[in-house]
Amino acid sequence: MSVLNIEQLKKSFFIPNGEKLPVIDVRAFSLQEGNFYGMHGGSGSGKTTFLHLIAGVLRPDSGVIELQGKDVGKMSNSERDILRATQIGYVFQSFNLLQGFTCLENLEIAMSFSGNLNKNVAVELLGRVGLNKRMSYYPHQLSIGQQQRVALARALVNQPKLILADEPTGNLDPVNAQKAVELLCELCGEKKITLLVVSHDPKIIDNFEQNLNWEQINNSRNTEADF
Amino acid sequence: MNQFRSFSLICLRGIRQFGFSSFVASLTIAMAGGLFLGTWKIKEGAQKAFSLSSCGFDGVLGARGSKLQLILNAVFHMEASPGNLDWEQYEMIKKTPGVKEAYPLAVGDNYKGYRLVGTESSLFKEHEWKEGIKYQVQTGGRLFSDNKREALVGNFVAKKLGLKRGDRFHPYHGLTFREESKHKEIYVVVGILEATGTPADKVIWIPIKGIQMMEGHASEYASSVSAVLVKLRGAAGFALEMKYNKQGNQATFAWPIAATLAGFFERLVWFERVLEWISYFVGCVAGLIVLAVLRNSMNERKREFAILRCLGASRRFVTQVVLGQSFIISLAGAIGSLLIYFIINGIASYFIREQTGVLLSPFALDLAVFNVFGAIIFLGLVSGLPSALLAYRVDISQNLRQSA
Repeated sequence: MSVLNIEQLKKSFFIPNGEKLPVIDVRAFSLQEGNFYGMHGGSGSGKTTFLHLIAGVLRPDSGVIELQGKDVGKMSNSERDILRATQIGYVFQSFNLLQGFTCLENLEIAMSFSGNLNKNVAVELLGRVGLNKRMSYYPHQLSIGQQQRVALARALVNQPKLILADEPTGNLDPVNAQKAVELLCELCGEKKITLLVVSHDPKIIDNFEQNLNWEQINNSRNTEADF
Repeated sequence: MNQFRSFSLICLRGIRQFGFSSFVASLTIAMAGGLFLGTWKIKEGAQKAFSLSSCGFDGVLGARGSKLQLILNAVFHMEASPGNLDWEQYEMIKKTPGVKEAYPLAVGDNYKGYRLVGTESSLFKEHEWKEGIKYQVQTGGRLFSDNKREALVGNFVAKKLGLKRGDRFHPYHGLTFREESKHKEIYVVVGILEATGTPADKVIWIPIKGIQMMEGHASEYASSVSAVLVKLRGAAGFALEMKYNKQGNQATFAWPIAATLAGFFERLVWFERVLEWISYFVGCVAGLIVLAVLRNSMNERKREFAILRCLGASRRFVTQVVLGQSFIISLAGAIGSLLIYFIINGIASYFIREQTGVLLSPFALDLAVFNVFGAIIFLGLVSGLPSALLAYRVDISQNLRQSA
C-alpha cells in the first residue's frame, strides 16, 4: 500500500530577469508504506524543493501529491499545518533545532502542534537515542552528533507516516553519519514509518534497499543551485 | 505542554533572548505612561483637593485686591496678605442678612516658618469644616482662650516641629522665619488639632487679639483684620459680590471660592498641555522602540518561525507569538507606568502637603487610570503588528534553506 503518490508534479520559480524557471517535473513517483528509500542526486538539483512540496511547505504549480490518499496541493493552509504536525517528520542537514529551548522542550513543542502531547513519549524517545542524561541541555551544549539525534527524535516524536530526511548526515563525520542512518532506520523500523532519505552522498544511499536516482525521477534540467 | 504552554514558553524565551532591548522598551513605555498619568492625575487631584479644602467657607472678605490672593492667603495660608480691613468691616458683614458665619483672621507672624493665624475660638466650636464635621482637639487638649496667650497647633505643624501640649514658644515677626525678629511674648500650646487634610493643619492658631496686640506691631493692627472667612446662607453671595466688588471700593469679596480656584487652575492649562504633549511624544518614542525591538528580533527569528511552521505551527500561532511578546513588553511597561505614577504622585503629594497642607491621595486608582493602562497595552500591540505580519508571512522554504 502506498503512502505517497505523485503524478505530473511541476514547480517553477521566477528568476530575477522575470522568466519562469521550471525546477521540478516529476511524472510519477510513489513510496510504499513502511519501506526505506534512499534518493541520490547532485547538489542544487531540486531535491529539497521536492521534499518541501511533499511536506506542503511549497505549493506545486500543477500535479497531484497524494499523502495517505489526500492531495496535499489542494489542502488549505491550516490542513497543511496539521499534515506537517501529524503525518510528516522532517530531518534537516543543519538539524534546525530551536536554539532557545532544551532537548525535551524541542520535542514537546513539536508534540504540542499535533495535539498528542505525552511527555513520557518524548522522554522515552530521547532515552532511545541515547540522550536520557541530556534532556535539559540546550542544543549549543551538545555535540553535533547529539544534536542530530535530537533532530531525529523530534521528527519521530509524533509517530508520523512519513519521514523526510534532507541530507541528514551532511554535517556529520563518516562514522557518525553511518550511526545516524542506522539509528534512523532502526527507529523507523520499530514504528513502521516510511523513510525517504535524500543525499548527494552515494555511500549513504547505499544503505537502503530502495535506491532512487533523482536525476531519473526529475525531468527538469534547470536546477543549478539557485533553489 | 499543550499549545498554549508552547505559546507562553516561546513568547517568554523570545523576551529573554532579547532581554535588554525588551527591558528598554518596557522602561520607555513606563516612563511615558507614568509621565502622562502623573501630569494628568496630579493636576486633577490637586484641583479637586484644593476645591475641597475651602474648609467649609463660601467666601473671603479682605482688602481691595486680587480675589485669588485673598483666598490663597486666608484659606490656604499662602502668599502675602493684600492688606488689612477695619474691625468694623468684620462686624458689618457678620450682621449682614444671609451671612451664616463670619470669622476674623489676622496674620503677620510665624513660628519657625509656620504661620500664626489669629482668630476667634468660636471658629473651632461652631464651624463645620466639612459638612457635619467640626474641628476636633486631640485628647487632653483644649481650645485656646480668646484672652490668653495660648495656641492651638495644626496637626501637620505639631508633627513637623514636635510641639506638644504644654510647650511654650516665642512668635517671630513676619511670614518668613528670621532669628532676629523674635517677639517677646510667650505662647503656651494648649491643644493639637486632629488632622483634617486641609490647610488648617499647617498653621498655629492663636487668639486674634494675640496678633493684633503683639509687641512691635503697629497700633492700627489692634483694630484691624487681615480677612474675614464667610459662610453664607442661601443666595446671599451675589448680593455681597455686588455690594463689595461692584459698588464699593473698600474691600473685595472673593466668592465663590471654588470658581475662583478653578480660574486659577485654568491659567495653568498651558503648562499641563506642554507636559501632556511631552508625554505623547515619549509615548510615540516608546511605541517606536517596541516596533524596533520586535522588528530587529524578527530578522533573527525568521528561521525559528520557519522551523516552527515546518513542525506544524500555524501562521496564526507565530503571529500570536509576536503579538504575545509585544503584549508582555507593554504589560510590563503599563505596570511600570503605574509604579512611576505612584512615585511621581507620592513626591508631588508630599510637596503639596508641605507647602499648602492640602492632602492629595497619591495612590488613588480610578477608571481613568485603568483606561490609560489599557491604552498602553493597546499601543504596544499596535506597535507589534508590523512584526506580527512579517511572522505571518514568513517564507518557510526560503528560511529553512538559508539556515542550511
